[in-house]
Amino acid sequence: MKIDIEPTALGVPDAAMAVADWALECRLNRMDCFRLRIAVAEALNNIILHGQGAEEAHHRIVIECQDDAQKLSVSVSQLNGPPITVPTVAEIPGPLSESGRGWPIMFLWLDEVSSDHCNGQNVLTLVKHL
Amino acid sequence: MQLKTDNYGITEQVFLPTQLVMSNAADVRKQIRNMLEKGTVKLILDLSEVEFCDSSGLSVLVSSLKVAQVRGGEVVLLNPTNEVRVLIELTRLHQIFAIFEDQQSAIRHFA
Repeated sequence: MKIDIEPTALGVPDAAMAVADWALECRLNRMDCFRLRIAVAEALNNIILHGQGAEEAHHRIVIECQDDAQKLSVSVSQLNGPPITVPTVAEIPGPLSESGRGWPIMFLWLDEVSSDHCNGQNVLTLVKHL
Repeated sequence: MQLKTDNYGITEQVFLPTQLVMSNAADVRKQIRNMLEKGTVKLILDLSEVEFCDSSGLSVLVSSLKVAQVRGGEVVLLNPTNEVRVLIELTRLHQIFAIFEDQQSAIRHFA
């Protein structure tokens, strides 16, 4: 499955929901689908906040989902966006903190989180084992 | 989008939207802050309709609590869905919020 959205926050919930629906069809249980949905939303939010925000076609965000029998992979990429730096350690901040939860949620609820950069394309890959 | 509210004397119940996410977090935060600045300091944030909440949404909950506490007030959470409750527990917000399953218990908490 492939989804293409503008780099604005408005498109994030529907895109994350589409990924969760796809994951459910791929045999992921409902609670893990919810976790994947939140993680995808956090990844998209991060790219929108720190990537190229202009609503230009060449800055659109592409989400590609792949079912590899043992795991589900969701790749989020933005052409011409700045490199995505995945933190090496991400701990849940204190409960009174008003920021810093996005990466820890991704780390805790997914099995793998990685980034790559090639041909001007920044790719953040989220993996959930089946 | 205007948040729906109900008033119970000194307590205001605020019905949060079905999605509490980055795209509407600033607006929801502003509306709750306005209520607190107008004198409401005992807030019930009703999560029963919230089916999707990201970290921006969680920040709205936390900022509301902090503004209320500065004014000597309190914020409690009402009836989160199982999924949202899992997120609240993962991020340890249950350590700073009282969470109620029914409205009457939340209102009694402030009585």
